[in-house]
Order: sequence, then C-alpha cells, then structure tokens
Amino acid sequence: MSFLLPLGLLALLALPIIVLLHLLRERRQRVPVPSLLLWAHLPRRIDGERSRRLPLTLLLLLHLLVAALLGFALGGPQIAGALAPDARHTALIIDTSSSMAATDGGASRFEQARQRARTLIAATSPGDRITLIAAGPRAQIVVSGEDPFVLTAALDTLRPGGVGAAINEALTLAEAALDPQFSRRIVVVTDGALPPQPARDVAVPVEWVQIGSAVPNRAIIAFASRPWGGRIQVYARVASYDTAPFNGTLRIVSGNQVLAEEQVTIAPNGETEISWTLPGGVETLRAVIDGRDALPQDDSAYLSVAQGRPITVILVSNQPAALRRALEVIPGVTVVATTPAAYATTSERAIADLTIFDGFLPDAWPQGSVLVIAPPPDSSLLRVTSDLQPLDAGAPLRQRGSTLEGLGFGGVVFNAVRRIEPPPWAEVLLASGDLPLILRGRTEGHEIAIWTFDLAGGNLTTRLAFPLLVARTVRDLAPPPLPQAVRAGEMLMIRPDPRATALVIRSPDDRRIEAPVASVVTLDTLIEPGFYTVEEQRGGATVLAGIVGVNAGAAIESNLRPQSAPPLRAPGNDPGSASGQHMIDLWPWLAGAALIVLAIEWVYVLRRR
Amino acid sequence: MWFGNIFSPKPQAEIPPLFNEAFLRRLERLSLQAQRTLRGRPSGGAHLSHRLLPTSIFSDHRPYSVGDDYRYVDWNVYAHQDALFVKLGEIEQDVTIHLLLDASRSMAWGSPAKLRAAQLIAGTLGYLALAHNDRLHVTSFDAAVRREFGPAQGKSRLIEMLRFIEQVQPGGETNLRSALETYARHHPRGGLLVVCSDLLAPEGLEEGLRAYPPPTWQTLVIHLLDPRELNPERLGPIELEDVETGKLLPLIIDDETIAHYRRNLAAWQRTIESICGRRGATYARVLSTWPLERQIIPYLRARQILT
Repeated sequence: MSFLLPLGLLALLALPIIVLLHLLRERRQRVPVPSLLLWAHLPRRIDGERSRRLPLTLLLLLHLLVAALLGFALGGPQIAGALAPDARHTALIIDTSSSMAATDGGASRFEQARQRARTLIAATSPGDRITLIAAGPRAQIVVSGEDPFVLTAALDTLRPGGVGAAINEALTLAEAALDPQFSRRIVVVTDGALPPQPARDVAVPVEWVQIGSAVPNRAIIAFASRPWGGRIQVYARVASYDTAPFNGTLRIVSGNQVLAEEQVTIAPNGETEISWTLPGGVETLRAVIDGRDALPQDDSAYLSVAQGRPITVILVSNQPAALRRALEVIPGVTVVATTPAAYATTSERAIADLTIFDGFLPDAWPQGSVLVIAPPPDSSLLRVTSDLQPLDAGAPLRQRGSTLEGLGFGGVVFNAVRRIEPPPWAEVLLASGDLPLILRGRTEGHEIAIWTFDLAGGNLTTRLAFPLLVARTVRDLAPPPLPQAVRAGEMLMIRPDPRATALVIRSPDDRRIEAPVASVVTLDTLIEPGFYTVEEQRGGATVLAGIVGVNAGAAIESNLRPQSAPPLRAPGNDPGSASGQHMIDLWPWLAGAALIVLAIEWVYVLRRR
Repeated sequence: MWFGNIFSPKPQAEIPPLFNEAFLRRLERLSLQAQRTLRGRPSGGAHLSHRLLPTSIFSDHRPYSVGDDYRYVDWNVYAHQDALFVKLGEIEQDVTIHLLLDASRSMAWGSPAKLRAAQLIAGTLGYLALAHNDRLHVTSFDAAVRREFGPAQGKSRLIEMLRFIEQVQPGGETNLRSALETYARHHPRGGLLVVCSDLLAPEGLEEGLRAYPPPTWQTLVIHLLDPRELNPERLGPIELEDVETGKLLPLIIDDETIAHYRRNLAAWQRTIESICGRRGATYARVLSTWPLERQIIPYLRARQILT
C-alpha cells in the first residue's frame, strides 16, 4: 500500500486528542431520580481514580474509528489493484469532417466508422476504458469511461460536418487523456481526407483505420462575388474528382429564381472556373451543380451578397463641413450633423451607432461608439490638462496598431493639440514625443477613440490621410458587417452592436441558436451547409439581421479518393504502461466507512437520550 | 418527509382513563373505616358515632329531661316504674374525608408515575366517600396547598371529583410541613385525612402530622414507592439528578453503593413508620405498580382502612 498524500496522515494526530478529550471530560450518563434524599450520604467513590483510567466506552471507540478512517483517507492510500494485466485504455478518434458524410458502398462513411467504433466498444473487457474523441474542424473529447452503454450513446450523438479534421489536435488530446496505468493505444477511424500532415511522434501505439474507397465526386470549392457598379460579379470554381470527364450544368439561383445557367465540362480530376456579371438587387446567391455524386453537401455553395451594415453617425460640431465630407463618402454611413447646443434635443441620439464630438463632450458617454475630437478642458469624462497648444514640429510621430497601419502623416501639421492624461482603459495609437494624438479604448461597453488635436488648427483635413483616417476610425468603432460566407465548422467571429442584448442565429433548418452577447461572439457550430440568419436583438426586438452562407465544398474534403495515413512515428507497444499494475484508490471506501460509523454513532447517541 | 419526525418527540402512549363504570359499581360494596371518635353530623352518613342519642332503636335509657322529644319516651318503663325515661340508641353519622394528593415533581417519576397511583387511590377513596354520603375534600399540594375540590357530598359530585383528580399535574418541590400545617389551619373540625405521597422531603412529616391530633383527626398516610426505588439498577458511574431540585450527584452505582442505599431506605421507612405511630396515624406502603383492584384495595382492606 502506498499513500498519495502522506501529509494527510497528520490528521491521525486527532486520535490522541480524542482520547485526551475523553479522559478530561468523560460525560456521565445522567439518571433522574425522584430525590437525592437517600443517595446523599452514601460513601463516594474516588472520582480521580476513574478519570485517570481510560474510559473505554463505545462512543470513544466510534470516535477513534471515525478519526482513523478519515485520517487514512486524507493520506490517499492506494493498493495494487486487482486489475487484469491486459486492461487497456483506448483513445478512439473518429473523423467527423464533412467528407465522412459521403455515401460509400451503400452506407455513409461515417456510419461505417460508427460501426467500427461499436465493434471496438463491444470487444472491450471489463476494466477496459475508452476515451472517445471527435475530430472535426476542432478536436474534442466526447466521453471517457468503461460503460459500453454510455460510450455507445455518446457515439450515437456524433454527426459528420465541418471542413477539416483536426487529427493532429485529436492525437494530442488522446495522448493527454490516456491513463499510463493502463495498456494504452490510439485508434483513428477516418477516411483520410486530411491536409498534408507533418511527421510527428506519438508516444503510444496508433492503429489507423481507413474508411471508404475511391468514389467520384463533384464540388463547388469556391464561390465569391463583388459589386460591379450596380451589378454583381460572381465567381465559382468547380472541381471533379473522377477518372472520367464530367459534363453538367451549373446554375446560379437567388431564392427560387435561376439567374444564370451554364454547361460545364471538367477534365478527369480537374477544375474549371466560371464568372458571371449579374444584375444587382439580390440578397443571396446559391450555386448548384447537378453532381449526382457521393457527397451532395458540396454540390451547392451559398453566398450572402447584401452584407453592408448601415451606420448612423451624429456629428456634434460647430464646424462640421470637413468631417461631414469625409464621412459621407463611406458606404453605408448616414450623417446627422448638429451643434453642441442642440445635441441634447437631437432625436437621433437613441439610434446613433457612432457619435462624434468635436470640441465638446457631454456629461456621460452616449449609446454606441464615440469619437472625441479636441476634448474640452472642463470635461468630466476625460482629464484634459492643457489648453490648445502647437505641436513641436521637430518631434517624431510614433504610431502603432492596425487602424493607422500604412497611413502617412508626413507633412501633416498639428497646430492646436490638447494634452490629456490617457485614461487607464485607452491605449495611445499616435503620439508626438509624450503628447498623445490618437487614443483608442473601451469603457463601460463603449468603443471610444480620441483625437486630441483640433481639426481647424492644422492642415490634416486637406491631406490624403484625413478621409482614410476617418474611414478606418469609423470601421474600427462601428461593428463590422458579417462575412459573405464561411466554411462549414469554421470559426465565425461576430462583433455585435454594443447595445445588443441578445444574439440569435437561425440555421437552414430553422433551428434557433442563442449565443451570449459579448464584445466578440465566436461561433463554431455552423456545420450544416446553407444560409444562417444572424439577428442582433435589443429588448426582444430585432435591430439588425444579416445572412451568412456556410459551404461544405473544399478541395480537401470533396476529394473522396483514399489518402495515405500521415507519417506518424509511434511505438509498436505501449512503453509507458505500468506493466498492467493498477493502483486502486482506497479513500472513497474509507470515507464511506467513516460515514457509516458516524451514522451508527448518531443512532447510538439518540438511543441513549 | 420521512425524516421530518426524527427529532420530534415520540408520541405519548395513550393513557387509559382512571376508572371505568363497572369497577366503580364493584367498589360500592366497600366503605371507609372511620373511627367512632370522629365528629360528624347525624343527619346522614353510614358511620357509627360514639355518642348515644334519643332514637327509636335503643340500647340504653336515661332519665327524661325538659325539652326531650316525647316520641323517644319509653312508655312501657313509665307504666312499670312510674318514671319518665328516654330511649337512647347508637346513631349513624357522616364524616369529613380529606384527601391530600402530593403533586410534587418527584411524583411524576416512575413507570407508571407515582402520581397516577396516587390519583387512583384518591379517586377510589373519594368515590367511596361520595357514595356513602360523606363530606369530601380533595386537595393537591407540593410545597404548599395548590388546588382544592370540595366540600362535596353525594354521588352527584362524582364526575366533578374524578375530573379534578385527573387534572392534577406534578409541579414544584415537596414541603410536607408547610402543606400539612396550612391545610389543618383551614379545616379545624377534623375528619378522616388521607395523605397520598412519596414523602420525599428531607423533614417536616412529624411537624406536619402534629397538626392532626386524634381523636379530632384520623390520619392515614399512604406512602407511594416505585419498585425501582426499592431495587435500583447497577448502573456504574453515573450522575444522579434530583427531578425536583435539579441537583446533580456523581456516583458509581455498584453492589456496595446499592447495599448502602438499601440500608438508608430501610432506615428511612422505619423512621416514617415510627413518626406515624407516634402521631396516631396509620402508615401504609403502596407500590406504584400494584394493580388497584387486585392488590391495592385488598391491601387497604387487610390494613382495615377499607371495610
């Protein structure tokens, strides 16, 4: 027997303490009598004699037993278990990428993989353990245990979907999850549709189970669009993974309307590219090829065309002309100009995505994002330590951050700059010496940028950098639009409006997914190909809805020809297993026994009352 | 929930009523043995008086004196002797029965409680008193006189009397002297006094009984004891708790202690018996576990307390 935490045995010091307490204060049983009249003058026995003797009562023995059991339990005792010497711990990695959904030999590859896994689970002996790992776009441990029913039930919940199988990540997870006290091994069940893997070492034996055969497949592996005047240019790339040439029709559909149709001919194992110029005014596009192949999921591609996100800007300035011009050329931006005096009564304050304060600041940050230009010295929101002062022309400018990347401030003269004490939530993006010029930060849910210079006091508004700086600042402050499309299982990052209280995603089969609102919401559950609707809600009402296309077509997943196993350097036998010897923890048994003894003591004490 | 009653007190076993009707009917054949010296009223009752009064059933004569009832003049004697004699005979009288019930906390001790035995005895004697048209007082006491019932006469007061006895609850400490002296001051006419008590008071019995001198009073002391008081268990090291005072006495109860205790108990009983003898009281020791009809009543009859 060994102890995992020998220091825990210090708890056994409670044993002499309990004996001492019983010696010091042995509580006699109290017996009521009608009167002490007849007992009062009896010859007393010497109490001291009794107190020096250990009172071996049942209660003392129970106390000692409980303390001893708990003391040993705290030491974490272990004994060499009666585990069978061939007890195994298997990490079962199942490829759940979209290529596993391909029909191959009458059943889908994933169903064949599941059947292999069931067979493996059924073949386990008592005491064997299995850790089930799903390798989709990301790898995750699904379940770990010995109960075949639990393992099979967890296996049945898996569905194929998503581009890419993170086999490397899954192997790392498996190595970490395998218990060295068992005989370990890793079983990978996959169709081999993997990107080229670098050679890697694996510490335990790996059994590579290849599923599927060479089945022909056609796929739309790229689909994109861009506005072209009032029209849309659409691009698609179609691949055929077949030994025979392919002739078929490629259609571009919007809703139920076919916008374009073209016959395509693809050489064996070749690709073709097609582009169209289509009329504008459509929200979504779907490309469909009549593949009639093993993997129908990649025969369609989805694209959201109208992805502009409208931005309402309130410009609070006494001289708004230059800023207004720069703002109005930004697509999707609506500018409402007002003066500081009239700002309090401006009705658009409630819907503003961005408020620009030029030489003025209210008492509190407004809703949405804020750009502050030349903040006044009497503001309660920012600590302005000096009035407008000219900038030392000789001091070099230091700029950082992606917002200002590539912007040239050469020749720009900042003649009137207010020195502010940078708040703790902001970082300086542009500074001259120790004088901050542009700051960026986030406080109390507000995205805030600060320009400390007065636009009227310099020549920035006449330089090329000005509209670029304004456009980048607006794009940086306002929530970005949704992407046109993502690959199935790809991480989709959404920066919702800071005022949104809920984010609701509706899947192609109209399932409702609610995501907790944060500054950046990350979704990796978009696996089914199709159009997903993303709704930003405030107070139960939808304030903005966008569409994202999710596509399963990818060269690596759509090529259903068997691939060779990646170069893995794994041992033939598990070198790390403890020769079949398994240590069994005794503390749960000891703690349970202590509880039982406590219950007995409780009953005994109650009975004595 | 099933565990909701774990810490709740155990339900008390239902206490049977003190008396039933059949028992009371059987009891009517008995009567309390009152001394003739007791002063009662000749208007009713079933106890013979030591006084001879004019009566139609006569056993003696005395010369006629002015004011005697002509109905009791023995005209046959007048015819033979030419002198007026009045017929004298024994009369029956009622007596006053005083039942004193010890309701101190020590009476609640025992299984069954000594108080219950005392209630049974008091109820029996009270019933006999009412059934034989005696005047009845029932009083509970501990350190002082607590509650009183009576005077009552006639069976019509039976239910009221039984209810009073049933409602006696154990209370404070025992003080025999104070309780007995107080009671005697309030009842100077005397009568038959029955004290039902465990007599567990350090002193005061002799002083208390001094207030009940014969022949005005006929006193009967029924000493209630629990069998466990006579034969305590061998419990080892324990702490005895006086249920009246709450005082604690650590002790080791072994054979030696029990032998000492028994000697103390015997001496104490002899002392009580001696006090009762000196004060003209009848002493009767009754165990609280004795069945009333099969053991207590035969015992009281054997002691000529009941006839």
